Amino acid sequence: MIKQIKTIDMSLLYLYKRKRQVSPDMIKKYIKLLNKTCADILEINTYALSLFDISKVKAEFALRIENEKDLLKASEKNITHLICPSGNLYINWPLSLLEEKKIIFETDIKSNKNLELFNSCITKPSEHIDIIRIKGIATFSRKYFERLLELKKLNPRINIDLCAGNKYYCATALSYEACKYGFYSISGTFTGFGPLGGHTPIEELIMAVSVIDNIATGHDTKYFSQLAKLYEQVFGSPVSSFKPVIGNKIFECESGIHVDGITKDCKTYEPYPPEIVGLKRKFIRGKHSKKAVQ
Amino acid sequence: MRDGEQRPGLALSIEQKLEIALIMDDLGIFQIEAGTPAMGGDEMAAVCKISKLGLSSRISAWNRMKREDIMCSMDCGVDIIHISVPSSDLHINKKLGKDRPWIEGHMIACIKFIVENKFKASVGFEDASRADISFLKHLASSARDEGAEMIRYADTLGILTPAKSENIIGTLKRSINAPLQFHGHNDFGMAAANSLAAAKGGADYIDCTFGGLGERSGNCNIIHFMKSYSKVFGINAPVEGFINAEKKILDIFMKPK
Repeated sequence: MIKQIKTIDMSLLYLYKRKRQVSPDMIKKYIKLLNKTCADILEINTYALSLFDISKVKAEFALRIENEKDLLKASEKNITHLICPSGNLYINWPLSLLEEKKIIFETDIKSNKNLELFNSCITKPSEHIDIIRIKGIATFSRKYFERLLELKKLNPRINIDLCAGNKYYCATALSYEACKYGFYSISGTFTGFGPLGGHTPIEELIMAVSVIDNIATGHDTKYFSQLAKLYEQVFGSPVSSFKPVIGNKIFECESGIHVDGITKDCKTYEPYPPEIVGLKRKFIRGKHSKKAVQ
Repeated sequence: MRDGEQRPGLALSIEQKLEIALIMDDLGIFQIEAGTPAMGGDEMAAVCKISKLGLSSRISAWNRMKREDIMCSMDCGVDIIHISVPSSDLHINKKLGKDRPWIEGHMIACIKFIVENKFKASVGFEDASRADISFLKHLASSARDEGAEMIRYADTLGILTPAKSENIIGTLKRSINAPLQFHGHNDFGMAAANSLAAAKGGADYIDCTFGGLGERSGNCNIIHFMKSYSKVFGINAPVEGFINAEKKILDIFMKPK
């Protein structure tokens, strides 16, 4: 049973890829809505930090430390987490930061199926590591998850975050199963965008947990459609009209059988009411509607 | 072809359907669900023409549990007649205003009618992921007894997850001793992962659409499934050929009629 769902959104890391200039106000609006709808923590890099005044935004941030210079930006109050990417060393970071912030240590285990790297992180951790983020998993394996959790028992203080890749279109499913297995948090991006097939679309995960498991996640999902429009404005990339959860046409219906069923009881052919994600139902007249749509 | 075309606004002409069927046949697709002949007009004509192409792919037609619908499919000369059987209590009670015995009785009558007329029957359990599993097993067993060749498990609203998909398909496969088909939807972005898990659980066939077309957020995208299947099962599937075919098929969809 899923007890909690905590999400880290990484979309701000890709602001450098946006196709247009956007104002700091628009970025702040995007962050606010992201925080309200699906992201408990927002991961940023120093580039994203340069685009808005973080002290004016009420949210929790995780700063990615790519080099020592980045540490200069880490003292902001609402930067609650510091992320140490694979291969980087956190041991040289100032002790004050290590004590004040939660440290997320990334391990990329795609080329290490025996979990040796994870094993060494969990059995010989620095006292400062709070969360180990696992990257590099792209398909679901029950045995693999079970082994990870066995290893986690060696050091219960440390939490595990999953940052699944979407190269094989399984990231949402993987993240959902990780929640079932009791992982502490899931990292992904709104819409799932990102390099190499992208990340877990966190809006899909939030809706899966809230609808399939009937868990109150604490996220205000009725702003999803608004956030999708804002995302298009900020990044200059369109969201597919049929994208799960946020596509603006996912509640359009033409098939006579479906229209008839929805008219009698919308639960027959809708997994959740459209209003929950800020959309509206629309019946379309066409080849498949026959008499059902007047 | 049938479920993909249910995306609102899509309406394929006879020529478009024929072109797409030829591409799918070239790829070695096992079965093409060509349409719903009971709609009449061009839809019925298209299914009839596809059936007469003499393709290697088996041609199936989708039907409600109605004798007059099934007769339209018979007139088209398809290889296999598929009947959709609402299986969750919500669909049975709210959509049809019927009960479980009525469903079973009608399903049996339809299969008998199909088999007596020397056609192959396939049964699809609509909204199976919200149905009582013991009722599904019972229906599947009755369908097999009457001569249904294949059973389809439909996750109509895309609410399954990989662990559940693998488990439920494994359970059904062990109990019904029949070729089993999995039909996933993508409402929560899990159609490919669920289809993959269903294949692990023992599903013999996976329903997919090109471009992931279909109602709401669509069906399992065939390219997504092929890529993940190749990775997990270590099979060198001809993904490139499917990607090229998808481009051609989506071009056909966009062609002005």
